[in-house]
Amino acid sequence: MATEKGSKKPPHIGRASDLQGKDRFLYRLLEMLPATLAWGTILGSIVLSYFVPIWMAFFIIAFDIYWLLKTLYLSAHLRQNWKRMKYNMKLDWQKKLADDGLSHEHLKHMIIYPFYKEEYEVIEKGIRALEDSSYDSKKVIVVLAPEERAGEEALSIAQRLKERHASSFGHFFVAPHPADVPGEMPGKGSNIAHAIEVVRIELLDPHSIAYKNVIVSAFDIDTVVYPEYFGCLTWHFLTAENPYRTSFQPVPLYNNNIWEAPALSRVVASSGTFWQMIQQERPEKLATFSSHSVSFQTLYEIGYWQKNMVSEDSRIYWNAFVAYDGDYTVVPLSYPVSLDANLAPSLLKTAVNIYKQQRRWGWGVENVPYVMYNCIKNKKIPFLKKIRVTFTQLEGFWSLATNPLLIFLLGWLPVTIGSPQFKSSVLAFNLPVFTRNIMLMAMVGLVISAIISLSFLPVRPKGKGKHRYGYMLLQWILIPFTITFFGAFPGLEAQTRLFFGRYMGFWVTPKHRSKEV
Amino acid sequence: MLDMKPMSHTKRRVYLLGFSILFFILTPLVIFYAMGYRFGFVEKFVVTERGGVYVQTSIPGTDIYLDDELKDTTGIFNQEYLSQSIKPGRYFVRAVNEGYRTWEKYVQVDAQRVTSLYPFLVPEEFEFEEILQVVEKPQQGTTTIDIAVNDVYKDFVSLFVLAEATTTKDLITASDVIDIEEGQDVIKRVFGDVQVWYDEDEQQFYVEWLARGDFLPSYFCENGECINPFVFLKVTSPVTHFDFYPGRDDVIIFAVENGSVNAVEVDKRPQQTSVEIYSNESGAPVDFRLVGRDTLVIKDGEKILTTELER
Repeated sequence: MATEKGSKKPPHIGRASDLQGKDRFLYRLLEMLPATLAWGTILGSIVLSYFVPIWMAFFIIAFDIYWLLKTLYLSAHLRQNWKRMKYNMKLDWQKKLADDGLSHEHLKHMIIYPFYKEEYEVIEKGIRALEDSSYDSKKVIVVLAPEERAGEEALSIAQRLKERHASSFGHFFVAPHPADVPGEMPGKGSNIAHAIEVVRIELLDPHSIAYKNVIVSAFDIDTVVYPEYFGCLTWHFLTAENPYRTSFQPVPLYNNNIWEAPALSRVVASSGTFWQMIQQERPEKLATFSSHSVSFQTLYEIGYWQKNMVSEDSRIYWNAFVAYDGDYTVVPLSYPVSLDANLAPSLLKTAVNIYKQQRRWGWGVENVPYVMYNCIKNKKIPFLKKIRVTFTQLEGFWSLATNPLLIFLLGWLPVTIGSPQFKSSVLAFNLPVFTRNIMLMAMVGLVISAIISLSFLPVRPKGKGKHRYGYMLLQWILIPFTITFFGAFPGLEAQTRLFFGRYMGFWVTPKHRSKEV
Repeated sequence: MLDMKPMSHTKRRVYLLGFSILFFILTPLVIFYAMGYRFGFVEKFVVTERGGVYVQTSIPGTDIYLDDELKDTTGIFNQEYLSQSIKPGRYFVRAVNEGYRTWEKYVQVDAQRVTSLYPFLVPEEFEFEEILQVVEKPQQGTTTIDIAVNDVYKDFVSLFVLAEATTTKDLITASDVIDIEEGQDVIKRVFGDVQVWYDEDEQQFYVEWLARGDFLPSYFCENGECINPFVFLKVTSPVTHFDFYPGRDDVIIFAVENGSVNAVEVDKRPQQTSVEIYSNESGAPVDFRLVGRDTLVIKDGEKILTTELER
């Protein structure tokens, strides 16, 4: 196994302009592909509805049935993962490690918390959860990585937290990320890539800690671990077929402030959780997302996270996928970590923040040209794997941007703008009725979602009446609205920006908690 | 090993295969059903084609009959009835509502097509309000009463000023005139895709469908033969003015010189609804205008009368 830093480093391409000549042209074309597909579908639907509404009606009926069956198919995965998560959350993972004879004394966990201007209380909540973890905290290395751009206050918060909590852990680092480093995009990727190198130089190498024995968890600053997280992670690391060709993905639950967040925010957050739960049952489609864990050895070999792009959380998976010629996987932990749902002082501000966050996540579409470009260039990746990952990526982003529009808006177009001849057909009269009924059947999946969301709720805080549970159930009727306005629209905007080369920067989601909680 | 494992590949493949097969079976079946095909297994597999009837009225409490069988009663929110599973053929549709004249129509239902009907329900009697020429205005602080010209009356009369100064033909602006035969001028009105015109010499009304394509509403066709344009009404007394009924492209209101204002359906399939909205006893000419959303203003000599028309 390579031991040189970046010995397997894949190309760290952030955008087409990072390349030259034909490669640049090819990459630019690939950047334009997702929006071309999405807008092609939308405009094609309008054109077909006007000129050949009958064919559009056939397509809509077929699509409605596809959507219904897909919902049932995904619901089966969701239900299975729900059972698995409940099982994993009840399990005593320390005992499990002992029972299975898995020695883990040699392992250390490095947890990196990058932050910008988040409040002291937000960060401390995550650190307290580490202290409360059932795992031996002396084997834990905490790395706080404030942004120098955030000013003295961020550095001061980091120092105060270190003074207060350092003694609880094996090691506690404050590794500020310098401002204005040439070639870097300010954001989480450049921050944690810097911090991990600081820890390597100042801790791992001087103490001869083997890279293979360090599991790195790159956490969003609001990440709060459940008590058995590290036990669960350790067990999966030790039982993985090849732990150095593997990332480990928990399920993000947005529970930190769920009782404070408005229904809009709760539905969008829970929808994200459910999608991750579904993907946990389909690991071949899973890429790392948000808070995730990976061996230091792997990170070292592939040159850490990219510093020149936004979606470093998923890109690190694709970096490894390319570096190891497709021989890389994600192991779903089916164990949660808790994060913040979007919450701002006003509903409007919350809605704006949700939109911006979803747009940033939708900007994960920047991985499409990266994956496709490297699939073209890297001849060692198996052909079928190339086809599968390319299709999964394209289909995923196409679905995000177009499916809600097809279902809730474009499906009515033939009846609206179709020819009078079509409008007088039995098919035209049946189309809205069939669409509505099929969608209602598909909404049965929401009942499952509502039950699952209730089962993961944290303890109801004092002052929050029992009727809130009713709201938590009723909130799911917002789904048609949220997947359109906080799914399709931000996704479409992100793809359109990529099409025109209007690249996005890293937008930090503001963390806000109600003071009385 | 964990007792609780991820969904196995085999199970996932079975799900995927099962749902895929279901998709390929369901999709054509649903599409054919939605188009109006029905499948039966009485003795052998039979595929038949169906058509539909769609009836819509905004007047709640209307009973919809199909071949004398009550099918539905409309409400405030449920304003329509749709049957999309009836055999092609000739049907008798009735719309009955207390206080309104019964509307009825014989219609042809064709395979895969829906015959749309918008019953023209008119009240048994129209109630008119006369707008007085003058009004009494008591003077403040005295018992004296002033007589003043009614502004509302003046406003309504002004609607007809142009008509009094000219003949009907003079009323027609250049853009309204089309020639259908050499030397003949006509009045035309267009509402959406429907154009109606009145031929003064022949004293008859025509209707024409203007929309793109070869589609025609069902009332343009009878016994499989479609005619566009066609004559839907001949009158015995010259028409002085006509317009579309508020909110409808299949009903017109017209005034004739013998002193009446009438409404008639463009759809001449039996029974073509034709009602007299107003007539004077003297047989002197009357005129009308439509004001606002639904107000019919009638001028009978010096008298101004108004009524609200229901859509």
